Amino acid sequence: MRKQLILLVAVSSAVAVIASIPFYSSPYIITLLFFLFTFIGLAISYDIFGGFTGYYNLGFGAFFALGAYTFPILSIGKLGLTVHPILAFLAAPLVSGLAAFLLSYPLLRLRGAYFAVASFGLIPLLYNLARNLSTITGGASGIQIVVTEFFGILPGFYIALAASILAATVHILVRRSKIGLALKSIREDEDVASEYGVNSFSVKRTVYTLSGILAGLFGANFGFGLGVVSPDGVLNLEIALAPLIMTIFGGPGTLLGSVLGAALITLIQEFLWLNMPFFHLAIYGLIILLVAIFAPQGVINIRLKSVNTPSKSGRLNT
Amino acid sequence: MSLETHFTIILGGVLLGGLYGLVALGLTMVFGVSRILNVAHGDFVILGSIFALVASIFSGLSPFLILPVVPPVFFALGVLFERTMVRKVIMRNTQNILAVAILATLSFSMIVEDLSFYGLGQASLNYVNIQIFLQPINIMGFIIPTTRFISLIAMIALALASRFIIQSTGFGRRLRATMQDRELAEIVGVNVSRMSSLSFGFGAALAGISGVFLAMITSLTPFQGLQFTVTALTIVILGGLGSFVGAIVGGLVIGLAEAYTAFFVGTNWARIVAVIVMIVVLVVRPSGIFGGRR
Repeated sequence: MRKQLILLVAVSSAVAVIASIPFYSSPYIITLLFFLFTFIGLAISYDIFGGFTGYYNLGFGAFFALGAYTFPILSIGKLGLTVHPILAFLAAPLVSGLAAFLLSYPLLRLRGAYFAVASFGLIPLLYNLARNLSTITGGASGIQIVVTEFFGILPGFYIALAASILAATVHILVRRSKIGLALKSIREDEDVASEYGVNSFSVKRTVYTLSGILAGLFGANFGFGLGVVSPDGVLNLEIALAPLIMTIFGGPGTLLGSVLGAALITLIQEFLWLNMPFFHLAIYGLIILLVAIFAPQGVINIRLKSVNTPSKSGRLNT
Repeated sequence: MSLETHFTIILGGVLLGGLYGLVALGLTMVFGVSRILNVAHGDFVILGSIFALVASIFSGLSPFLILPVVPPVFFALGVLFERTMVRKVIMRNTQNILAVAILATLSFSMIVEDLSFYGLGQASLNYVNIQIFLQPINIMGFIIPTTRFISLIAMIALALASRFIIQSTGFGRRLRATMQDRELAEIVGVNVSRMSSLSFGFGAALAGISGVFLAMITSLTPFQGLQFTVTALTIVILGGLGSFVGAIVGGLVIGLAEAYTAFFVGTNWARIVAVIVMIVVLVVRPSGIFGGRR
């Protein structure tokens, strides 16, 4: 109990320090923090499904993009009805969650490598929809969101910070719940788990939807903070695959691993992009390759290897 | 709508679908033998088209003369990929092979896509498109573009040749045995690790040559590599996992669906057909048309 109290105090003071940074720093730092907490939150949200189940959800970015598009489409009134911005913002995660719930029926019939590539199909699907439905989505140039005093990067940062804390809370609650236990058994051996009475589909669907809802929230905030939502902005490969790579890099299934992975990759990427005019995608690929070679269990597990024996769930048994 | 319009759409669809089918055949073969889903499989398609385009520009030869070179070159490339990426990076891990396989092949795909985009940009080529101007052929009143006709013949020949290799040669028997049961195949004396290399080579050769023909009938960009992998996977799911006939039939279904969508709805909608079909198939018949095993 005392340990938890200390942890709580430490985390809240860290959050307070981070929240005060914008008062004495440059717009660049605020933008960086906005991206940092968007990705930390996304990595945690990704981990709620991907990390706990051991599934590789390459289509996670689709729910992020769906949230990003829902907010301006509803608040600007592209569908004919104009919704109050706050309601539109709250509708975004619901739309993403609904999409995740419905898509879980076809996609969660697949496992392992098949699930990974099939779910990636959502990214080109949404990309082409966003480009083709130009009356609603603004086509290739996207939708501009008018930046007022309530919109923009600074409130975006605070929302991202708050949403990250929300995602972390959900992560902890799911892990400690009965569902968390079921998820662990699914990750170890799905067939055996099913035989012992775990309704694996229903459990997976629940967390897939949860992770979709949170992705939609960060998506809406992403457009809100940057003021523009475009196919190349929210559905590019780097953003779509970032949460997956960050959690694997940090250590899948752990809160600290997701946070660490997201922070490290965002900062490495920022450093490289400031110093490299092109080959962004290739550099990103190289980072992924290095993760695959040196830290496939996550950096958080490197030291703990002898204590925490990694599961054999990674073995391909489809 | 006239018969001739339908004929043109069907010809285009069959051609596109047959080529997709060959790509999917390679994907399902590689996965069946090595148990590693190569996310970069679609990039071999693009690399094939780039190889033929660049080779024909530099040598001044007709792309048709470059064609026979493509399968051996890509076979070697596939084997090299297996020997380096798969053995040195992926199989080095005893745990978490799936994660490493996805990450490693994905990173290869991203690096290849970015570098080839840069390379093409340096050569001021926006698209990979191999243009050949030949006199159209007239068969029974139907005007057929010669390039398409030759591609169609070549595609059928390739499908038959693949069928012959898989069904009637010793290599094909060992390949199928490995796909059915890896351990048992090893016990009866199949060199499983050699099969893995050869399957990657075979798959890359099929993907590479399909890429050349695809660049003759459409324009490609380097960033379509991942999308080809998704399309190929859709076809594999549609045709039934591990089924060779299913791969070709599934390819034809997707190709025709894309051709009709492109004509009636618009070319920019054709790209989403494959993913929509995949979702529908997974809801309606998850085991695929010819599917038995999971």
